[in-house]
Amino acid sequence: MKPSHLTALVLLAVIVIIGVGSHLIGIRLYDRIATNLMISLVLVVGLQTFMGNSGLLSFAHIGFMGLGAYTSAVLTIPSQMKGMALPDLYPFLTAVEVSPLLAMVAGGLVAAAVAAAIAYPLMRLSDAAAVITSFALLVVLYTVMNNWSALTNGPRTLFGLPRTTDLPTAASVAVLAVIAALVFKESRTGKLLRASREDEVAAAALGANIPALRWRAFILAAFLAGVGGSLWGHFITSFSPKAFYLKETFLIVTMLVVGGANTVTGAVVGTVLITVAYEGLRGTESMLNATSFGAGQVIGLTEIVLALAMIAVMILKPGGIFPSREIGDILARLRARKETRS
Amino acid sequence: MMKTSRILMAAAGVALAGSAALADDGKIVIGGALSMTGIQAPLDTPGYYGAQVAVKYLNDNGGVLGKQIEFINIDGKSDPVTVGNVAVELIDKGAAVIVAPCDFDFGSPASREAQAAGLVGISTCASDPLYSSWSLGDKQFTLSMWNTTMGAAAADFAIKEKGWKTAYVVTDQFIAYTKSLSKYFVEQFKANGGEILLEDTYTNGDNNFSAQLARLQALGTKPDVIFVSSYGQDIGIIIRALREVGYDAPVLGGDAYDDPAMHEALGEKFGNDVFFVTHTWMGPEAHPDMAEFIELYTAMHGSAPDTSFVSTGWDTIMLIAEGIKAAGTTEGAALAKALEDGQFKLLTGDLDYGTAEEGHVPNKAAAMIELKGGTPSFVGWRKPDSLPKP
Repeated sequence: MKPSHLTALVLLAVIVIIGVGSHLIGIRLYDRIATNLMISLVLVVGLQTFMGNSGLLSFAHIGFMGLGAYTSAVLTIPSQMKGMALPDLYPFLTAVEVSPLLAMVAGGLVAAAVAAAIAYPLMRLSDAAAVITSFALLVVLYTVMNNWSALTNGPRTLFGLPRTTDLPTAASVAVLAVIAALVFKESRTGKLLRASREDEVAAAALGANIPALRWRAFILAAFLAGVGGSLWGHFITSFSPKAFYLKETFLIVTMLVVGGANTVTGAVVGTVLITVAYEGLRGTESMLNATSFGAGQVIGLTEIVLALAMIAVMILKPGGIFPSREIGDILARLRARKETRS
Repeated sequence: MMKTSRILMAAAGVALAGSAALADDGKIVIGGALSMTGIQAPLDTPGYYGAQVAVKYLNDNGGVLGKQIEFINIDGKSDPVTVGNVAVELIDKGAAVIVAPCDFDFGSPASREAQAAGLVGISTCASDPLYSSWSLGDKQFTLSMWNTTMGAAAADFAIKEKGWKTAYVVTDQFIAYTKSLSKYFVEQFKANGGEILLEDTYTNGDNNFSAQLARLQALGTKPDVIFVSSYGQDIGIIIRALREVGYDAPVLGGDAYDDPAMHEALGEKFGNDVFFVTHTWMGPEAHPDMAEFIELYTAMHGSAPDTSFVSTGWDTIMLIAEGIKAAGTTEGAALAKALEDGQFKLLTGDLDYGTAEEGHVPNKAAAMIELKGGTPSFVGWRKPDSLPKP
């Protein structure tokens, strides 16, 4: 089996095991946590397609998640509810009511279209300049969401999205996202882009049109972010623009960086690890509080331990847990080594 | 790293298995998803402390329906997804009622889970009219008055009580709360026959009010009353700027004024003729039980409450207890009915909920406070007869 196929197989198995496993246990909390994990997975893998292959840190990702969520909201909120949820909505949109699945694709497409339109000139930038512009882009997207009241209800909370994101849906989308990221990584664009990540000048000398390559990756990332945003919107069912800002940005970037930005395996592992650690610590915290009632509350344990763990990972493994090789490559190498030995 | 992750996973497994234990029948479990960490913590923590006092008080006096009350709060971490998870966890632990965080964004996921499980959910102090049975379901309530009441109480006080007919309105554009408060004030002020001379905007953090002053001075007439809807230290900055150029008309505002730091900043010189509408007054004039509450609070937590928001926690638990007594059960529909039908005399004002069709509108009295020489004093409870549409 080719190593890239092995990678796909292992990662998809991880998703299926988490999905089926948490479903079989039958505790509703697990179901919700797993669903949220799958949504995070779509977002993190989406970010990996750009950040991993181009080597540029992007802060704008969550802005595109917001675009997807709001697009999907405008398209799916039942028309009788729109009068209350979106009082200033443009008349031609009030009657629109499409299926959440269709709206999810639309959310992705809108995010991708916006990314395509505004990102082309930005893709010429590298290093710190690229990071700062992506951050500025996040601020712009956030401000637009905060002030385009007709479509987003401004800074006020938008509510009324049908609750349609369940575990099977989220897991299926996560599977597709992982496949898309792996295919993109091995595609001609992906390979050239990775070459530019390692040495910009050498890649350009070989004829790689770096801005165009980055642009394609950025559009794919924005599409996945939009889809992830739509999934999230239909999971939480009410949100305001501040949900798509710094807190979520740092969470998603952390998941990717801890796992290893250069590999899809890293994206998956980082997401699973941070989610499990967060929920585990949260559970520990509430268990401590339940047993030592009256003796003072344990508050903030989760945040502190998680932050310390991240620092530790970054010191011990600066490139993340999977810094350069996908799980398939690692397994294939192990097997090859065993064969040569025997 | 793999070792660490395995330990974490094991910890997760243990913790989650422990949480699946069911409540026994000898007690009534009230579940709280209040946030003890993150940006929502300053609003939720006082409510949590107040709730603890109420639970102890009830249990010391025989409990409710002969059962002891257990209040389990799990940190919602100022994250909507976690708040929802916490609510599910609490419901599966046997919680009969859910106490939701003090904000629509953070509180609604808890209320939605409560609604889905057929339980009553109450937010301790979300004041957005979105926190209604229209948007969340027929078993969901908020303890706070809506912003409509706050705006209407201020407008009624200005026109009907004080006879101030013309107003100048300044609206902070930074957050939804300040915008909607001005909107409701203006609507009610106009409905009462008042005239808005000028509506101006301000953005939190500008620290400069000269442009607005220039526009105000260009009017040529002085307003009877100035309504400033802002928050934080900017309120003080605006009031100082107005007073320094000779606008000494009374200033009116909402619960963002209920901030000792702001009162100090204004001081003796500028802290006069300022009126604001807020949730309660921590003195015996507001409620006969207030002194007892403060005493119990001090005994339990070792120091007197530093914010009036602690009374929202006490009230939430007391409201739930009275509802359960009236309904004779904790079953969702019956308890919701009891809350709709009942009249409650709370530390944060008399409360009478509307029906589910009316959105569970909290018809609640608002506390009117006056600043004199930089120190607040209680004017009285005010309950508007009519409210602007949310």
